[in-house]
Amino acid sequence: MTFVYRGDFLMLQLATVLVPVISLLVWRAAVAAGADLPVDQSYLDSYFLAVSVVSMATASWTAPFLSTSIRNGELSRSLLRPASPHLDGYANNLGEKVVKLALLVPIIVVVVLVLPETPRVVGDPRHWALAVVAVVVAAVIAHCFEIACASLAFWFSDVNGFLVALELIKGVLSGAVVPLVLMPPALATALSWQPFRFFVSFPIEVATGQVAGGVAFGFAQQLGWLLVVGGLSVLLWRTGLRRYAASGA
Amino acid sequence: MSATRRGTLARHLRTWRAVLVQAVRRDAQFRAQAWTTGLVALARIVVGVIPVLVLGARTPEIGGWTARQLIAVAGCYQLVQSLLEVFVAPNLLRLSGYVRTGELDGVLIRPVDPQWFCTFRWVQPAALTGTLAGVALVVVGLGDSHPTPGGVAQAVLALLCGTVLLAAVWTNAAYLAFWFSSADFVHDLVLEAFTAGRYPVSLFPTAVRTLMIFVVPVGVASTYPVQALTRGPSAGQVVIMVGLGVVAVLVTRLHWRLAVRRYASASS
Repeated sequence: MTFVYRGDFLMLQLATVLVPVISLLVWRAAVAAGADLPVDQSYLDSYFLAVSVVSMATASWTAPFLSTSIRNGELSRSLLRPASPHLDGYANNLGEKVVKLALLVPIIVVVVLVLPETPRVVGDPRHWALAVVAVVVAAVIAHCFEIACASLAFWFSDVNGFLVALELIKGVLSGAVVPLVLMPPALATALSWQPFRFFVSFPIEVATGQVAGGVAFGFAQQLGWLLVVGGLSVLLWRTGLRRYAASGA
Repeated sequence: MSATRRGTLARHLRTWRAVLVQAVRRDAQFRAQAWTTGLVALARIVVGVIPVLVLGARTPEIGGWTARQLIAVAGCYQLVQSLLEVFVAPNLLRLSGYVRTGELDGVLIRPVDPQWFCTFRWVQPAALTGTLAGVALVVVGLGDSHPTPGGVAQAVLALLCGTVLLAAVWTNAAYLAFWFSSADFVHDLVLEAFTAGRYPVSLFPTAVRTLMIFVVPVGVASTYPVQALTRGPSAGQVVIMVGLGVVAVLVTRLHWRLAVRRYASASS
């Protein structure tokens, strides 16, 4: 289906790259104006080029679809099947990411070529390989998080407003909008512990070799959040399912 | 203006007043949804202004702009953006559905101009919270400057022209629905491109600056008003924005006529 709407998907990927490129240009201007930053321009270049790929790879669209199917009773059909009702969500996310990546990478290459000053990418290949692991764990956490949020539809009739608000907050706290390292120093500790950091910021920190608190500690934190969010999603889904009262349930 | 033209204009204004009243009543009836729309619009502004605040905190002056002026530019952007969200977005987001399902047939047979109807039929008054927040940001950002009356007049003109220009760009993009079977994500692309307007155009390389004035004119909507308020009026900018506004409206009208010719309705 993604191939049928390839033009549409290309536009979506262009949109994904646009904001980081705008941010990159603005922060380059800030560096040129002598801004007092804890990182150099090569870090910013690497961050903003990587952020669209990492955000895409770790994003999941499951919550709105799943919550709608809980509300209108479509979930009943998936529950009857001899497989997990989430299988469709996993497959959809994986397949879509492969196609999106194939569209996104050429766009980023074009961006690198047309940028007025060729970006310098930091970090050694081992760091980038480790970052792939962080991205995979982040994608799993993000997907569990979506299932947990969608499960709230078992208790509340409309969770869409909540999901939109959450999406906005996630954008800021994950580092997708502004690198967390540029946020005010007073917030550094709080920002480094909150779960959304491990959705986007952490994999890029690993890639650039600048993880606050060290790589091993960062991975321990990420795995900790995986257990918490994963556990929460299982708990909410199972308790919610017992309350499910759509026709046919 | 001939009597028939005046009559047509009056009829359209009456219709618009009717849809506005209906929209306010709808919001008053579905209060939870109206609250959600209003709060989401506010949350969007708070989140949107964070990068600007972080930038201002890290750089006292950038490209001739102080940290507070950056907030004013972001405020103008949010103001225009939320006006689009109130008056234009609910219509453009429905357009591809009209074309795909053939619902446009019902619009074409009405005794009003179909393009006007497709652009202004739906209003979302609850999203005006975003407009108020935008105004608040402009006031906070410009608290210490003393604009001249000419500057204020030009700023208002720039905001008006900016709104018309961005609405025109978005509308033309939405008309892609007539040419392609699916173009829903074009909205994402246009809205993301608009976000460049959060920052003054002078922060960008020359090529991008030109794009931000002449192609996706977010600079007219956000940088021009603050420039007029802080640095006084400029005849050159008035010529550019009024000229661009006229061209944009004419192009949009022409595009609609060509697009409707391609429309293969549901019933024919």
